[in-house]
Amino acid sequence: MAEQTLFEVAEAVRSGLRTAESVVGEALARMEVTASFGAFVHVDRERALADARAVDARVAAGELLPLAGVPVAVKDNLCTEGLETSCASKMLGGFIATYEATAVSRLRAAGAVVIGKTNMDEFAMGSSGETSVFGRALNPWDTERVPGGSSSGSAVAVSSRAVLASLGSDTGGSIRQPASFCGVVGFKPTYGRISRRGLVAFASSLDQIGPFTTDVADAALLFSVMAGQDGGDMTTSDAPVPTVDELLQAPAPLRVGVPKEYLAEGLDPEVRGRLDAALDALKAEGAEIVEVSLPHSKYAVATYYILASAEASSNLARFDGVRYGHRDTNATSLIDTYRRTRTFGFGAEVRRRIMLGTFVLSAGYYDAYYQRAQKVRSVFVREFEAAFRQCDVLLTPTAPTAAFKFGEHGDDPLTMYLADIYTIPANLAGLPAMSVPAGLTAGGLPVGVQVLAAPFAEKTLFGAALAIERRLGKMAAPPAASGEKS
Amino acid sequence: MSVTLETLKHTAELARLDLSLLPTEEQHRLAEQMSRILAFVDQLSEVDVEGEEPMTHPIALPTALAADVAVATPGAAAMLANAPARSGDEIVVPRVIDGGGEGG
Repeated sequence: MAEQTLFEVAEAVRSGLRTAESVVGEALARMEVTASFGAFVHVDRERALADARAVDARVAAGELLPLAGVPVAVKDNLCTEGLETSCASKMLGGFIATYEATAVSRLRAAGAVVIGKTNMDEFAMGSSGETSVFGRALNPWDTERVPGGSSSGSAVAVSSRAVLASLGSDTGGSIRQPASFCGVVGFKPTYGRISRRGLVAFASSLDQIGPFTTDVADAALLFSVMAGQDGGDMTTSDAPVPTVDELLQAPAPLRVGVPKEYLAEGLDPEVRGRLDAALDALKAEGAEIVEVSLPHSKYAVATYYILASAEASSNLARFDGVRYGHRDTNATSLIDTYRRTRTFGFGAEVRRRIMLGTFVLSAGYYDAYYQRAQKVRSVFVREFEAAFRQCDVLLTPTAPTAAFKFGEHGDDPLTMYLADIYTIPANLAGLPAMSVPAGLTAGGLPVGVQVLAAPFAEKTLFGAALAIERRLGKMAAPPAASGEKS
Repeated sequence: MSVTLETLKHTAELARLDLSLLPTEEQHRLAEQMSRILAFVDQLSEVDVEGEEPMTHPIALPTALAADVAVATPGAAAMLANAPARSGDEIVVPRVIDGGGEGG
C-alpha cells in the first residue's frame, strides 16, 4: 500500500476490490512495524476496525465516498469522540472530548477512518517535537534528527508510511516545517478555510488545520473535503471551495516571485540549491521568475512571538483544574488549586509562553509590545498584497536548514524560534502555504520548498505545487520505512 | 528590557502560576530567558507604525450569524465525566469562602 495514492485506496474500497476493514487492518500493522519512530500516542484498534466495518456497510449501501476506507492519523490537539485528546500535555491527560472537531467529522463523513492520535509539541508549542509529555518522535530519514514540530507525529506517520494521510495544525509553521524535515507534503490553507471547531486553541488569529500527504494531489483531495464554512467556527469563510478536479487541473503559474530578503544570511547552501531546482522546474513549465521585496521580513519572528504568546496566555487560561484535565490535589484553596494545577500541569515551554504572553498584555507593557506587534502585522499584510500584484505565487525555502539533530539548539529558546523564520509570515498574513518536497541534501535528508499564494487563491497554489512535483518527481519513502530495522 | 524576579512574580500571579513551587534555578533561568526574548522582540521599536491600525485578524470576515435551529449537545453526563472531582451532578472544588483564607 505504501506507494499508493488516496485516490487509489478509496477507489479500491469503492469498487469492492478491498474492504475498508482490510485497509485499516494493514495500517494498524504498519503502525506496529514503525512504532519505534514514536508517531502515535493514542490508539484504539477495535474502534478503528469497527469504524472501518461501518464504512464497508456504507459502501455496500451504495454511498460514493471520496475517502472510502482511507486510514488517517490525527494530531492530538484535535478533538476526537471516544479517543483521548491530550495535546501531549499532563494538563489534559485522560481527557475525552464530548464532541468531534469539524475537520475530523468531515473526513469521517467522506469515508475516512481515524486510526490514532499523533505526537506533538505540548499544546503545539515547539519546532522539534521535543516538548511532548510522551517523549520525542524520531525523523524516519535519520533517527538522530528531529522530525520538526509542532505536528511531529503527523509528519512522521506519513513519512514512515504508517498512513498516507494525517492532520496537523499550523500556527507559525507547525505543518510545513515538519513536512519539509520528513520529506512529505504539508499544507496550511488560507485563514478561514477550514473550521477550527474542536481544535484546542493556541493562537486563534493564526491557527489553521491542514493535511500531510505523500503527494500534492492527495493534499487537494483532503483539502476539498475539509474546507468550507461551518456554523461551529465563526471565522470560517463562505468563499466557494474549489473542487478537487479544479485544483488538480490548475495550470502552472505565469509569474513566480522570490522575496530577496529570504535569500539572506542563515540560509543553508544545500537548501538554497533545492530552492533553485524548484525554480528551474517552474521555469521549465513556462513561468517567469521575478524578484520581489518584503522589507519587514526580519521582524516576523518577533511579531509572531508577541502575538502568539499573548493569544496563548488568554486561550490557556481555561485550564484551571476545575472542569476537566489535570488537578493538583495538594491545594487548600480554590486559587491555590489554579496556581498549583497550572504550574505543575504545564511543561517549561508552555509556562514560558504563558509568562511572555501575560507580560506583553499587562498594564504598562500592552502598548509597547502587544499593540505595536499588531500594528507591524498590518505592515506585513500590505507588503504581501504588493508582492502579489507582481506575481501569482511566491516560492521560498520552508526552513533555513534540513532537519537538525536532537539537542542541537541547546537551552536557548530563541535559536529554536528562528527555525520558523520562513513559515511565520503566512500565518501573520493568513495566506495559504504549502511545503513541497524538493529533493535531498548530499547527506540524504529531505528538503521542502514553500509555495505561498494570495488569500483564497488555493487553485493558483496547487498549480505551482503540482508543477514542481511533476518536474522534480514525487519524494520516495525513507529507506527506514521499509520497516525491516524498526 | 531585563526581567527582575519581582516582575516575574507579578506576571506569574496574573497568569495564575506559582513559580516559587519550582526550583530556584528554574526561576532564575526563566527570568534570564524572558529578558533575552524581550531584548529580541524590542527590535520592533525600529518599525515606523505611525498611522497603522492594530490588526486582530489577518482576513476581514463578516460577522457570521448562526442559523436559528436547535442542535443536540453532548449533555451534562458526558461533560461531567471529565471533571477531576464531583459529587452527583456537581463539580467539587476546595472551599472558596473561608477555608483557604485568600478567596478565589
